[in-house]
Amino acid sequence: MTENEKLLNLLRTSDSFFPMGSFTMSQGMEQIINENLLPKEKVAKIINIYLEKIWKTFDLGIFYKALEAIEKNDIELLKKVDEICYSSKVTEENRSAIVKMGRSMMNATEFNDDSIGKAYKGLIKSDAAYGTYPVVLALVSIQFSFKDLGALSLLYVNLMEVIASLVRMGIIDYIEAQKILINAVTSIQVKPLKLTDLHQSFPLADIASMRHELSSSRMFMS
Amino acid sequence: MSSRTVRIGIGGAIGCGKTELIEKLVPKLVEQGFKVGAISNDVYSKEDARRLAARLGKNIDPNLIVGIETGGCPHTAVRDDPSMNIDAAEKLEKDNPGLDVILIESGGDNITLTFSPKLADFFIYMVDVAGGDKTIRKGGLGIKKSDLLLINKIDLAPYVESTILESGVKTANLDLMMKDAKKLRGDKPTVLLSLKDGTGLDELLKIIREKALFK
Repeated sequence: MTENEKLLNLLRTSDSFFPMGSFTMSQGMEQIINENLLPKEKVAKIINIYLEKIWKTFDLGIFYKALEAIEKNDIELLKKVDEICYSSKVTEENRSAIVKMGRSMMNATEFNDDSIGKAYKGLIKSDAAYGTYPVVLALVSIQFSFKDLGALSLLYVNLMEVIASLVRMGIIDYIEAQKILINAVTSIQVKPLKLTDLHQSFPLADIASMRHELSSSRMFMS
Repeated sequence: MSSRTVRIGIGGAIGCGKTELIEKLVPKLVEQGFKVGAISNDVYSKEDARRLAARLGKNIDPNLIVGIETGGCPHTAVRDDPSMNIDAAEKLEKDNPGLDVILIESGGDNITLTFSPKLADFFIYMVDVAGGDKTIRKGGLGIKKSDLLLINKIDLAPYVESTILESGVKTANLDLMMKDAKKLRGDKPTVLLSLKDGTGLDELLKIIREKALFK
């Protein structure tokens, strides 16, 4: 695969047009907005907290551990990482969201015969594995040879989910969204983490998500 | 080769009668021996799914009715990225062996709506006479491409002013709407419907049985 092909696949799988339902997710942001917990001037700051406390410290760690398992062809380790990812999401709707995205990404990807990706797709289809998004993204990153660049994809997709939800809810405009994205890019420095370093803690988002689960009037799935 | 449960997509503007159509269709289909599930896409709540569960509780198990939030993008959820709907339909099918048909209601949208062929096997588009009799001649993918076009609320026609210059009559001109539909859709069926008094419902059921369910 040429470098251009790798990059195009990276762009394709990170684009909001890629069919994994990311446009239906807000990661608790809808509830934070509905409860007036977020003054407009703090939007960029709170997105940075999402980035630092969830996506970079947890989801990214899961992605790297999954890459390691795939490169070792260790399907049991991959399942373990998948289980940790699933069980660490505090609310049912967050667990459901991360699995729906992962499974949709898996459905939209053809894996080579005899690859761990193909084998894992079979496990997910038979409900023997969860298929969380960071784990499936690692499989896709290997399939399309962009490997650890998938880490950027993971951060970008999460950022876009939350920022796009803010635009759709009318909290920020499309130019402000671009400014937040530009500033966020400067803080996207990624590094591999150990399994024991994996954690996530952003109580505001977790509590908002718990309340969101019970809300009868909502625009987003999470 | 295993065959999947037939998926029927129902689209149209907000308030045109999509939810009511499902409420009227499901008991008839159940009466005729079909096992039916429903997915309701709502732009801003699970209100339609809640309403369906309450009104159809006697006809189908409430677990056969699923609500989906669309993130504010109703057409994206059924066309550009239908993954969440596909997932919901597959789950319904898996959890309910023997399901014959899944009705998938889009969130209220405009005349450009279409369903992804991966999601819906048969596409019904609805317009509402109260929205103006010029709606059909405006065209749009929903009106042109749907497998079945429904012109609902014909009982309101006498109360709606015609919006077509050459109409010749003062109130909504149903004949002209049908002629416009013929011009744009060729031989594909269009049905004049009143879900309020049941006009057109039997014709609609016949078309669904023949062209979507092949029964």
